[in-house]
Amino acid sequence: MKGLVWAVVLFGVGGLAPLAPTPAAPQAQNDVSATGGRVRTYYVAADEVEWDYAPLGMDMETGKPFEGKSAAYTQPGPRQIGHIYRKALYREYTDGTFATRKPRPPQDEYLGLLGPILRAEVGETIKVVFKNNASRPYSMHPHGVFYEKSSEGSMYEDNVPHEQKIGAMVPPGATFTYQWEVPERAGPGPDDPSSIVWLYHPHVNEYKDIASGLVGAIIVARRGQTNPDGTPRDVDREIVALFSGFNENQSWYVQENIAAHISPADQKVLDKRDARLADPHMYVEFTGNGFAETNFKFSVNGYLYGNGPVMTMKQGQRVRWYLLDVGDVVNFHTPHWLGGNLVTYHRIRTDVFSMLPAGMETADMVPSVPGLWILHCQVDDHHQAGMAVRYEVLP
Amino acid sequence: MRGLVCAVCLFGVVCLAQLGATVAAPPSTQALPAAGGVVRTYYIAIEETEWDYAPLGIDIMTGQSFEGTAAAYTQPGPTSIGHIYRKAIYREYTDDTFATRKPRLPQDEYLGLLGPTLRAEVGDTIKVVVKNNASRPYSMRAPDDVFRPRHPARTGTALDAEGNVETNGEPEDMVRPGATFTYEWDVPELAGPEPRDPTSTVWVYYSRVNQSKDVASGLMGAIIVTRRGEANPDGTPRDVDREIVALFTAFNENLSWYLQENLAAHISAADQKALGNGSANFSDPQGYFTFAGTGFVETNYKFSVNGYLFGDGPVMTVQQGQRVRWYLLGVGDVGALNFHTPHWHGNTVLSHGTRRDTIGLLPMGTETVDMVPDAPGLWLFHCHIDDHMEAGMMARYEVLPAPAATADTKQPAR
Repeated sequence: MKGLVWAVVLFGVGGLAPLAPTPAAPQAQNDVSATGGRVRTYYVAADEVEWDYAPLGMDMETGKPFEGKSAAYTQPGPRQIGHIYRKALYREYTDGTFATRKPRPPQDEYLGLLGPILRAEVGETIKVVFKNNASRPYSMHPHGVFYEKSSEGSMYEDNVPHEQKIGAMVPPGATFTYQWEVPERAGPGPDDPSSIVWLYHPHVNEYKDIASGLVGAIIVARRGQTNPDGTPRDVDREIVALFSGFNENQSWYVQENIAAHISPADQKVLDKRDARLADPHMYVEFTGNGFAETNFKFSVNGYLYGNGPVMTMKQGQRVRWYLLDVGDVVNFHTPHWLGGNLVTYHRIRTDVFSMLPAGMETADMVPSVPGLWILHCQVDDHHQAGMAVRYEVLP
Repeated sequence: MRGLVCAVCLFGVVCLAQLGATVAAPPSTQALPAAGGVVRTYYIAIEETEWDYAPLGIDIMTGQSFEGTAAAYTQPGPTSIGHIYRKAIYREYTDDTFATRKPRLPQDEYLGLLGPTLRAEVGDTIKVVVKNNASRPYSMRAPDDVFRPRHPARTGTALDAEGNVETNGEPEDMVRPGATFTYEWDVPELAGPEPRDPTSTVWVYYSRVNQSKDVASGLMGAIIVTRRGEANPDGTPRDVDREIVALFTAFNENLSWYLQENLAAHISAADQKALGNGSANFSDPQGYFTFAGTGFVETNYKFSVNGYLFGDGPVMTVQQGQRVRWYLLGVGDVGALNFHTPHWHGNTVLSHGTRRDTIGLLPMGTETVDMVPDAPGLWLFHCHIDDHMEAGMMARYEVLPAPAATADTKQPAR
């Protein structure tokens, strides 16, 4: 597959590999170690960027310029930062020199601020060469996969000497290589589809690190059920959608963002915890226009009001949706597909999901209704604050 | 009792019979009388205690003493009570004299604030003799839509606005201070695992004279019900080597019956005068908005696991390769934002056939999931809602390396 390019290193049994192009070797059945398995290597950096939550500059649901509520959440003002925030993102590079960013294929542009998708089939190993290009320590902590303490990417009291935990807090400018094995218990359970999704994110200060933007997806497919590039064979198209209200109040970059987008005069009178919880008529509402509230970016893959690249798929394709959710306590979300295209989730057919923070869910769709549709959070105040993207079913 | 003895005998026979497959005992469902099982009796006192949410005095995320937000949630100050709160808890005794506390096994110390775990196999009866050693009336209640009480169980809203019991509407299962009451529940199929559940399932028992205040004060515990015929004589499920009960809740100390006492004990008289009891500031030490705020109201939300903050509880221990069953309890009011997403570092679980390392819990929700840990080490186990984690909602579990093969062979086959 050319859609995604991996540096594939054959591990241990390099000589055997040309003879065994088919996946599932018989002895692999009850082997949960990655010994002899394929290693997929990724080069991922934490980069600080100016992220634009609303690059199209208009509300793509209404087709109109931002006004009222949507203006409060996207336009800079006396007590609003607007749509551009300094953030830290995981981004993929072509090799260990970290000189060239790996371009995203057009059909994956919708991933937005998500890090690269890391893939593995059960039995393989994911190796991530991580370079911290940011100005403060970060890490990569994966969900689901097997790791030893050195590759956990988390610092806490676990009786492991700190010098063995460099990966838990990679200093600015430093590089660390994580080794994550993918045994059966990291792959789909008996009632899961042929692939499932896990999160990865830093774990230096989880609240602030995630609020700052560092998050990505790992997709693990069942043994013997993948194409050479690690995608599941029984699926034509995969979409990853992260529903998160990034709490920019808790970002490591909040001060820089205030400085960059709010005038010095306004800064002097700024109330940093200004949460009004009121609409323009002063009735209670969770999406007010105070500084604290408009710093909650209720986004999908880091885009507000449908401003992300459209997620495309074809009518009749077998489409797999990986839904993710991270953040603090307001992050209960109910992704809802408009257009009458239903998903199947553990034998249940639905068009709306319930998610809590660190939710990781996989659902299948065979879209039957062509058109350009909205996928949004059905928690009404989240939707009002911009939590929507567009997906298109091509005939 | 005879049923229990009978079960023990039969179980022993089955174990001895391992050499001869043909001795195959009848299906284990017939090991118990069809009409019902055993009566399992517990002696439980309701006690008031000075509970320490952070006995280690360190934040295990840093390995250091508490700073910033962690300090606000654990250290006494002008607007915070700190880590010690008067609470009411259920504690087990050896008999109805209530003279001797039943010691908790070292491997169960992690249960912390939780009352003793009550067990039953479907068909059994749970009998609990409760003595109220506290200063106000409390009760013990199992979900009455599934358990069948044999005792008078008219409970509910017999309270006035201040939470005082109205004389004309006293719940019949309420226990006054100093009194003793015997609760008895039959455990029907309905209380056991559903067809697609694992072999055991979990419920919460709690005091319900005034549910939200009693629970905020600390009174709750777990009931584990095993499918008929799938239990060891002690009620534990046979297909499991180790069970862990983990309660994820933000105890809302603002609602505790002991709030005034706690205020008086830990905040100086001068500071009390200046204190606004309703003051929530939702800001971090730098003044930025956060849900893990540092005001009086917020720091009285104790986002804890089994009553411990910042990993200060005894470590939950399991062994590599063991069949470990986790019972997750989510309890508490929505006001304290009691939905939680327990996340294990290091290992994954199976939940209804799906692979997960994070489980969503809503108030009064419970989940039972299975783990066969393969990654040894001391691991973090925390709520993945980031502000809850910031406020201390974490514990540690340790996967001890599997015993050497030689040690294995000495153990009787299961």
